[in-house]
Amino acid sequence: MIVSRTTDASVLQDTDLAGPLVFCLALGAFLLLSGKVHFGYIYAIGVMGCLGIYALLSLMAVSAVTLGTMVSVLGYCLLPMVILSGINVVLSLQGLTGFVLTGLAIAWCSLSASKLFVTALFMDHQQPLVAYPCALLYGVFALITIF
Amino acid sequence: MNLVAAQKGSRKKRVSDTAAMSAPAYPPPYNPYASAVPGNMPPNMNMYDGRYVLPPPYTASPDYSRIHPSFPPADQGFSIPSQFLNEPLVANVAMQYGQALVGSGKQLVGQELEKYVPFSRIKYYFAVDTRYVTKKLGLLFFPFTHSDWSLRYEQDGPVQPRYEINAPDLYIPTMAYVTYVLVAGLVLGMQDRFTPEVLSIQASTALAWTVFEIIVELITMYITNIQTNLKTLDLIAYGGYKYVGIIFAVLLSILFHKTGYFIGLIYCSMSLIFFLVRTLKVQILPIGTSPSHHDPYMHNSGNKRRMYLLLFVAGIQPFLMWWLSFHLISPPVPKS
Repeated sequence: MIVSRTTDASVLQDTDLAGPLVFCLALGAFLLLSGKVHFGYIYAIGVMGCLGIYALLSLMAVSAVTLGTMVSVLGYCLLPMVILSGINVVLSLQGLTGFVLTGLAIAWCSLSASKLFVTALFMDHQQPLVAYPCALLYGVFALITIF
Repeated sequence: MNLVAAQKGSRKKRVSDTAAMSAPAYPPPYNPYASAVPGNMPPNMNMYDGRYVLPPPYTASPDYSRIHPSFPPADQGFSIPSQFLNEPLVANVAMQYGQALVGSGKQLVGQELEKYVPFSRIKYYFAVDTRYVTKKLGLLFFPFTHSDWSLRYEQDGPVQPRYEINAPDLYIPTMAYVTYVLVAGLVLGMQDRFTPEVLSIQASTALAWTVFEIIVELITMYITNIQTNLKTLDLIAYGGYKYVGIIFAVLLSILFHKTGYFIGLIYCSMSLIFFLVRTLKVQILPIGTSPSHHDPYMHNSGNKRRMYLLLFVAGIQPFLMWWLSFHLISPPVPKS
């Protein structure tokens, strides 16, 4: 799933957890290549973040939210984070360019995730509100990647 | 002889009767999903007997017609349920019943949960949109020019926050709380004081103080016997708005250290006090002369008590803001 200009709700009818799992493992592998063994942190943050965003969305959205759909969307939107950790293997991200790249990656992740959520759950005028918690979650992943 | 002949005859008649019974009803035996129709019961029973008597199911059908259709003896009783449930008709009925049971079970769980955590009430506080959030944040930082603080009501409750800027919501406090914990982690990381335990310590400390504050407010309202329209969730919402100010002050402290922190803290305290006093004045102090709010009973009594409550709620905010954040600011680096 690459961020597309137009998304439609039918994309989310078939939820699939294999992709997100592959992305999480790829993230862990890249972190391993750069010398940090953080599988436990990724798992814990992933689970807690998913549960938190699931609770928030089920309170905010009018239509019903399923946990599987949500984990699937969040996992697929982890792709820019995986790319960032891949770059981290080669270059160090602690300079100014690193911060800019990280900011871009977080923005890309959260915008695509919020776009998918808003389209699937028929929420109106709430996309930035959904993007903010997603940005917080992906920001924590970025913190693990950089530091 | 006659008897034997009669018996033989009857037996033959019985066999032929069974043959007559079973033959027309004998479609190809092993087609489990074709026999879901109730009218096909007899062949199922026969097949069941056939399976019990143990010839392999794909043999020719004439073998079955010679088997006497009787129920198996009682010592094979325990194998009956699983074979019985394997019948496609019974399996379908069981599945549908099970699914209906799951649906009603979920409903029951939802109802029970609703008694303890009122989800439908909480949903009201999250019915926000972007315009509301931006305006509310602007109001939290600069409430001095806002003129109309009244709340509009519908027939059964206040209007949703989406349509009424003065209504409290829970989205901003929740997000501000989470951001506070993360910003605390960030600031401590920049001072090399970061461990993952620190995050959980911050989170639980702030949560405990917020709960304590709300309990004190509730007890005060109970003891002084003030009747208001404020609910517990409203109090949680108003208590959570201070985290926005804390975040602002702490972020300022990253750039400007102690002076920036104190300036930010003082400014946010003042604007939060102003905001809370104006908002709660509408809800705690009675509106004097408007006929729609006129209540001939105790609603107008205890004005002084109400004012004290208002000032108390607004006044403890700066102290709590300072208490929850002063340990996060970095001491100025000593020049060596």
